[in-house]
Amino acid sequence: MSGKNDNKQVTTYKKKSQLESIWFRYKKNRLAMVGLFMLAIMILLAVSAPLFADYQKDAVSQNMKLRYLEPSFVNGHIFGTDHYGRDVFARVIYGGRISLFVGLTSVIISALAGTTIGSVAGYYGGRVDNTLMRLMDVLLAIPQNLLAISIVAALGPGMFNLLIAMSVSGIPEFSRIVRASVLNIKNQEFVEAAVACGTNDARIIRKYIVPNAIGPLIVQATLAVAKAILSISALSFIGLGVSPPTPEWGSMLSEAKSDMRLYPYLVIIPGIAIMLSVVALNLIGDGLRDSIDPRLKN
Amino acid sequence: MDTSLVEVKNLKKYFKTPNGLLHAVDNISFSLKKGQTLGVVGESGCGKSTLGRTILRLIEPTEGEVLFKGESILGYDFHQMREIRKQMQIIFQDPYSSINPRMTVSDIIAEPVRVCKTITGEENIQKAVNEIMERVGLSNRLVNSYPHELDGGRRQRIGVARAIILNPEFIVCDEPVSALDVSIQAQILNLMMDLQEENGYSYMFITHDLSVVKHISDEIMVMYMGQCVEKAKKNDLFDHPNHPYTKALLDAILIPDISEKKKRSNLIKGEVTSPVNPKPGCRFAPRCPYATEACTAGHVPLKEISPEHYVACTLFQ
Amino acid sequence: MTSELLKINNLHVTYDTDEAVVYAVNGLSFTIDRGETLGLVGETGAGKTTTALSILRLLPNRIGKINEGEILLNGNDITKASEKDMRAIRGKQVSMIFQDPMTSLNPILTIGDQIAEVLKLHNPNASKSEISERVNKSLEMVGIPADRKEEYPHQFSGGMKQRVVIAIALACEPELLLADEPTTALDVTIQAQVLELMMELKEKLNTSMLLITHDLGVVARICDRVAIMYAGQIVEYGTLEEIFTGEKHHPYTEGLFGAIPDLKKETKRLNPIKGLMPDPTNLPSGCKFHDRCKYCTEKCAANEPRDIHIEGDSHIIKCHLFDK
Repeated sequence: MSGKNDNKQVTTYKKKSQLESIWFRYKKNRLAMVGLFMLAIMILLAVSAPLFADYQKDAVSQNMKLRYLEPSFVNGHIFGTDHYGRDVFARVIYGGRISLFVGLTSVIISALAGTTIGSVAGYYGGRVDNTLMRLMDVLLAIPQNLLAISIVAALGPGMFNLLIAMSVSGIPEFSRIVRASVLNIKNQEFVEAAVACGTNDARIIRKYIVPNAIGPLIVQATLAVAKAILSISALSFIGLGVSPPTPEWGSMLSEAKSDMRLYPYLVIIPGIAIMLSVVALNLIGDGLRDSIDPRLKN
Repeated sequence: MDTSLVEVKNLKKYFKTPNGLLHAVDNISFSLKKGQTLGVVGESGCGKSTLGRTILRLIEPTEGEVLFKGESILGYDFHQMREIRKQMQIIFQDPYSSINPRMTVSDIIAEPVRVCKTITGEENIQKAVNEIMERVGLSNRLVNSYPHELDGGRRQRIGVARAIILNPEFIVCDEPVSALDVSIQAQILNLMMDLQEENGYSYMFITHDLSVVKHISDEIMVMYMGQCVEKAKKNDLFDHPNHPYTKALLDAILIPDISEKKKRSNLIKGEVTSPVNPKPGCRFAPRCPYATEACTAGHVPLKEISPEHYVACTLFQ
Repeated sequence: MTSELLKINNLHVTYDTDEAVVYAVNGLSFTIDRGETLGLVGETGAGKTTTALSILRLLPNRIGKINEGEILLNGNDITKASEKDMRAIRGKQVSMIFQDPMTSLNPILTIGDQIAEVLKLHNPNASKSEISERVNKSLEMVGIPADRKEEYPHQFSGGMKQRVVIAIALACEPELLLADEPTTALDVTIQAQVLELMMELKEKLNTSMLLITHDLGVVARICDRVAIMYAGQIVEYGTLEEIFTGEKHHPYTEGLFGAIPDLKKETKRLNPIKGLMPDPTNLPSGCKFHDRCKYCTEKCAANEPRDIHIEGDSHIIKCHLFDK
């Protein structure tokens, strides 16, 4: 009987789940690890901000006696103080909370909504697909930042409205990506196999289609967070994000506009903060793309 | 009494394409008894895969009848079909794309049971999965493995396990060994034949490989561009091929035997074209050395020229 | 000029991937004479394609490495040749046909252009009309009307595409053709046509051929000599007669023949070779086939067998069974 012949196999199969394989490949990518490290530090700083500075005392309250102190290790303000005497370091790490929180959360919401819309459109096709995707096209026709601006302008500034604006404006792109993946996956034989067992549509989408569409989605999501951080900064820069005195990197840039010549550090420091987070996320996104890619096909 | 398990009558499947109507399956009829294997042979574009899927209603037929145990399944709704699907299953060709890369081996095999709820209780399901894995020759230590860790042969065993866990009566086997190495092919073929002997499965075995089809079938149907050109019991077909296409197919086979270096001047020329808006009559006529005007004048029906041996050819009308 | 066109001695090739080292070819040696066709037979993972790619030095860049051994083309060791020299060889002295005709052709160039390209590369001084003439000749040689040369690959069927691939490979009349499963992806009747074509051309141009395949039927039709490959080594080597009719065989060869359903005889069950191909990152000790071999002894698990000459020079089997 041909039954048990493979139990004598000399080799053992390395039981790597797909997550482990992906992490294994990711680790080898130096730049990707640097990105991960950078992001981890930033999140750590943002989360543990109260350990470093007091929100009210350092980041918000004005202290005209301490205005425009240059960054130094000795005077207790390593990033200096701004035009209101507020500690820049404290403002940067508290500001990071906003950028990172709104960035990450808005992308999560967009991704969830986009995935639902994209998978339903891709799976059912026909009129459902047309209707949903034309709706998405309407949103896509407006540049993402402008869309965010109009939503915030309508709802008013503030972190919560910012979150709504960022989430909504990010949905169409995710729905497009997921729909493309779904169109590809639904024609694979294993989906046919599921139909042949009498599996219903909901289960097919849930267990067969979406898990296989996650790859490109995750890469896109990481890059979208970077974009979101830039957008948030841009919106705050023009006064449509969070309102003063809440610290945020973009509004810090805006407030320091006029002081650029005399006190460049007020512009450089928040600028670097934005840049580092975007670079970190891009490196992570690229690293993920390379490690999720099934190059090593057996 | 004629107890056919599956009966197909005048089954047609046409696809609308920008160039016209594609006659993928054109007027196919056969009947399959319990425990028997019908081999369906043909080259690419002959419609054999479409035929298998249409019978299971993975693709909806355009016209015709499919009877399972005497009842027509074409009118069934989703829930009735789900009931019937417990008895009619399919094994696919490509072991790389026919199993979900994101599910473990155990989940893949358990899925039909979970969907059809034929076994309840996690423990019972696991027990059933383990039993089936043993039966198809998959080591139990692979329960939590993912498909990408396994080779083609093992993956195909997963496909077989998934098809039999509901204990069906009829299994469509769509080129199940074509993508496998020779020695693994032999293992899987033996497995399928053993399972058939133990459980009385009826197979519709689709393949392009004539030596495989001869080994496993009881009856063989030869298809060309959507039509059935010849149908006979296995030995009868190989000993007395009648249709020119069947003869050409048999002539083209290369056997690993150097004692007969046959003359190859009688190879057929030309290629298969797509059956889009096909002309009436026999579709092999353009390539057939014996073609006459009668061949394309009108429909050439299947005729029984000797007991249980059918040919659709003007040479035998 | 000797009759030996290609001689490979003790070739060792590995793939150094992120996860492990893959031992693809482990001590391979064979010879191809002028005008001769050698069938390289084995299953997936045996190392056949790696061998062909090594000859043309087309292994993946940082990963594939020729660690040991020599490949002598007309007496010159081409493992040491520069990339420039290799480019002069590829397409001119040695050509390759790959397995899948659907993806071997560039979809945005006409087939005429693709044939012309290889001609222009190796005949930089030829005039346009000369090239055009030769393109027409190539197409006619493979049975495609010359007026189809302005058409694109997607306008041809699988069998026709493979003919175009053959035309490109033979355009410069190479001395050696490496054909990697050239007919596997084709229908049975088309396979027959393409093989006949290849045999005709081989005769006409006196081209030697390394035919890589897993199909013993194809080998029986077209090859002069056969090498059976397993886990990166040649386990049996001989003329067509010796492999197909001889009495003595390597157990793997025996297994291969036994696993094929026989069209002539009625068999209840097939005789598969038990087990699976070994993991090339973790090859077994001793004889690489020992854990699947029904004649396995203690010696087999411990020591690698050497090449035994069976009755004369041409039939060689790598197995302890024949080592007396």
